[in-house]
Amino acid sequence: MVASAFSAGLRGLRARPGLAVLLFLANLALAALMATPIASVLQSATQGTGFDTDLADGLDVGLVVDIIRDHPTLLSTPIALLGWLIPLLFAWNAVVGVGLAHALRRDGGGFWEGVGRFGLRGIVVSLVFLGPALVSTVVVGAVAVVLVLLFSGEVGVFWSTAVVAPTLMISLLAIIDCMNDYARIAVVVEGRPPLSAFLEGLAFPFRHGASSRLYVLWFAPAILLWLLPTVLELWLGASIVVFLLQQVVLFGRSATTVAWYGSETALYETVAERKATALRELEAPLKAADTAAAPPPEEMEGPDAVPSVRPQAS
Amino acid sequence: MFFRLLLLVALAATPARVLAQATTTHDGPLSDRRVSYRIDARLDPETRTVTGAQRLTWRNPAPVPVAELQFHLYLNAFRPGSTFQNESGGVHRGFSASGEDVWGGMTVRSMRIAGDVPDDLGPVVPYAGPGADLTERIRFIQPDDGNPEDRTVIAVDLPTPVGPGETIALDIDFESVLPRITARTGWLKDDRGDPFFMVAQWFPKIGVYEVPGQRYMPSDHPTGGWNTHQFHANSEFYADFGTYEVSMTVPSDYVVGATGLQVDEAASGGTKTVTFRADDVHDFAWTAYDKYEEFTRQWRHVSIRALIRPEHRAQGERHLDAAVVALERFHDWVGEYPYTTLTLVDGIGGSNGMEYPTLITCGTTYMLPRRVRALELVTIHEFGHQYFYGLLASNEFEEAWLDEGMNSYIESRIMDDAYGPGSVLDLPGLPVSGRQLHRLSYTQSRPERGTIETWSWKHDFSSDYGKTSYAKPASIMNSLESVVGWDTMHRFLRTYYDRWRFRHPTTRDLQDTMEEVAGRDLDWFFDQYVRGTAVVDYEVTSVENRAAEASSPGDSTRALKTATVTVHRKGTGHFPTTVRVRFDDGTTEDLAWDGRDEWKRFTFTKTARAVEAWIDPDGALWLETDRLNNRRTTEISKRFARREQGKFTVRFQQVIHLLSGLF
Repeated sequence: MVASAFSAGLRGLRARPGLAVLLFLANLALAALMATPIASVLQSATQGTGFDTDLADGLDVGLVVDIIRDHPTLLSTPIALLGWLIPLLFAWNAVVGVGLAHALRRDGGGFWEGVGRFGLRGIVVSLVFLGPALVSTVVVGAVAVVLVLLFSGEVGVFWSTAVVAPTLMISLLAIIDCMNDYARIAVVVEGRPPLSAFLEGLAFPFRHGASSRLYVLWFAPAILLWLLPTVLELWLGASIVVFLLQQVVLFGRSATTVAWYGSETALYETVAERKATALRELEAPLKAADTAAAPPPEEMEGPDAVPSVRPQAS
Repeated sequence: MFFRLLLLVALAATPARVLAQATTTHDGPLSDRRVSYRIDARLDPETRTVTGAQRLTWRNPAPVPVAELQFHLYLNAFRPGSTFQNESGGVHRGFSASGEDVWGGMTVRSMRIAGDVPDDLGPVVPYAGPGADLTERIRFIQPDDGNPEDRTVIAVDLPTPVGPGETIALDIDFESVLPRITARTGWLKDDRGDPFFMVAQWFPKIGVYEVPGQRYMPSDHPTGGWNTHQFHANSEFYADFGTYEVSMTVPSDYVVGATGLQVDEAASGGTKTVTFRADDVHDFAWTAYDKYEEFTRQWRHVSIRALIRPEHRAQGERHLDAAVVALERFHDWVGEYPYTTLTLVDGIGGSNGMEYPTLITCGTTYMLPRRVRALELVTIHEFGHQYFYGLLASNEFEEAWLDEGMNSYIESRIMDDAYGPGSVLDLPGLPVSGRQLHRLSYTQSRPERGTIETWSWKHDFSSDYGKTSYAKPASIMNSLESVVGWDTMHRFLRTYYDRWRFRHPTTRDLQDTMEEVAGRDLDWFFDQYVRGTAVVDYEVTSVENRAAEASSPGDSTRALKTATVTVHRKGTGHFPTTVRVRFDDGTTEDLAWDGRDEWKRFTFTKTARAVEAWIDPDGALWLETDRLNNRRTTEISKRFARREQGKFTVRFQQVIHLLSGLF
């Protein structure tokens, strides 16, 4: 099931490469929007000083500190940006989730159609998931405190705060991310309301081990592609060529997101289909018995009618 | 001398602690040895108490009789209400203590004039007075602040004054309760709950009697005077050179490290007594801990011994490497390290980052990355104190910069010489050097406030002590080097060392030596930056070009241009520097500027246009508080901003991907 879902994700990406382009461009635009004011402050700080070229060739901590002291907006600007950036990113990620799920389901529609139909519910679901994220943070903090108390001393503190707590935090957030993905997919595939989707998302990874394996399978390339731009910069330095290379890698990272969602959507649909099949198979004998015992319905019901099991008259 | 060194090298091939018996590279005394201490000390780990019996010998160096002796009881700084506690609030360099057994202190049980005077100081003229019990004559004095609760200095009246050149011996029994470590000395439990001891400032220590002509005591003054300051939050120590022989009895499983050379070890029923000897030093400290792991290395005549806590064993060799880096350069740049031992101690908490003769506490953290050279920085700095404090024994209470500041200057040079541009922090893309670190510490913490020469506890703002004792002196000396050149600085360091080692130099002595070697008056430097609060900030305000005026029609000067560069001394201080002007034909001109005028215009008539002016183009002016305005160009370039825009864009793209996982 994992392999077929993984393949389905790749097929989805191949079929809808425009989604990766959209995601990449949107992220690039947002990032550029944030970077531009900082670059503008740097430009005004160094323009005409003659240090521009030197700093472009390598940072000098003394000059950097002088710039920060003389141009405090260099720090205040990004902080102010975070005020609107975080809510915007939050909403964007939520709608991207439902948009991708809608676009990548078997007989899916358009991305924007998905955003329009399920965007609000996607945002609500993501908001609800802030609860478990908050609880996880508190739990990890508490665990770290307990570990530090139990293993006081610098070795214990190091392993508790620099290894165990971050690993635990990343693991918990990954689980919540996985749950959040399936909750959004549940909104799209089954049309669930937010609370029902949230509960379904919470339960899905525990009920279906394939979802965790699939998550790990995609997590590995995603993290590699996420780190690669930094590695490239450290290795080759910063230049326009490196920037373009980084953009290629980050496009790959966006494509991974699309394929990842495609895989999760395929898995969810497979599970839902099997559930429906199993339900039909379970209902079939009952229905047959029902048909034999009861007189035929006097009139046909509408196409949306859900088969029901009626208690037999004794 | 050669044979003596040969013998030392041969001895080094065998376990040095057992066989080597020479404490220094010289046969005779290296200092005038005014004091000697023989101490039998016993550490009781349960009560964290050191009980000691001390034979102190002191020679009156003054040309007049001395009727009173004064002593430091430094450990009483760790009693409630002491001046140290009042000034520090119980917090020292971020370390504080709480819980039980926090306090410490020293009690002199008895003090008697000994009947016989040992010959530790060479041939002596014995004290002519009677033997007497002085215990009842002990009184606490507070020469600095009159705080009656401060018991860090005592005075004792003698029944008969010690005559000029006479030597008196005292037998002193004392008990020192070690405090929980906040500042350098005391005890702490390690991560396993086992006690660690750093025993410093732990015995009654006679003060320095300054004779006429010594330091700031006028030569024609009829008497000398005791220089015994109380223990302050922001001060260190001051003592006379002498000899020490100290026996320490500790549980038999403890590893002991101490000032000097181990000369004996004897076991007895669950305890052992180790004896260390140190000559021509002015303090004695030791450590005892049962978990130390020992790393050793021989460097020329010096047996280096690193006592490392088990959790830091992976960094044992790093400690030794750093010590060798320091030994080599101090030897080349300043002078010989005359002792045969050097002990590096990896202590706990506030015991770290401290110097004692031939023993330093370093300090590191578990899993310290190689590129973060905090360990190397501290080790090199503390080793440097073997020179600036150990050999050049200035008064740390009154002139902290002579030890901390001069040492910081050399330490930053050594770091940058040994480890390159990222000597302190070798972060990819943002290296931090030793000299940059000091410059930033100075320029970012109110550079206009506090003078270097202020006595350590007399700063209006306590935080100014660190800046004016470490970072500012390092920055001004690094800047001075740019004016006089390294060769001159090198000669100054060697001359200062040769002239003042095993003595107590002052700022005046340092300036005199520097002026003599440099062959120029340096009042402008010392008045502004040591005794004053001058701040350096130069600015290029404009680079302008215009056509040169023709003297007659058809004059070829019409092709000439007049370039005017205007520079501004924004700061209150001046410093000789260079102004480099670059022209659009690729040529440059370097102009020497004394930096005194508030405004200065440099005019050039050339066929090329001036495109850039740069004050201090070599970055040698480490005092400069704002380098950003030191340079101005007419060329517009956006390379840096564009490059940073690209970098920030990618970083933000990564952040967005990361957040998409969180949301």
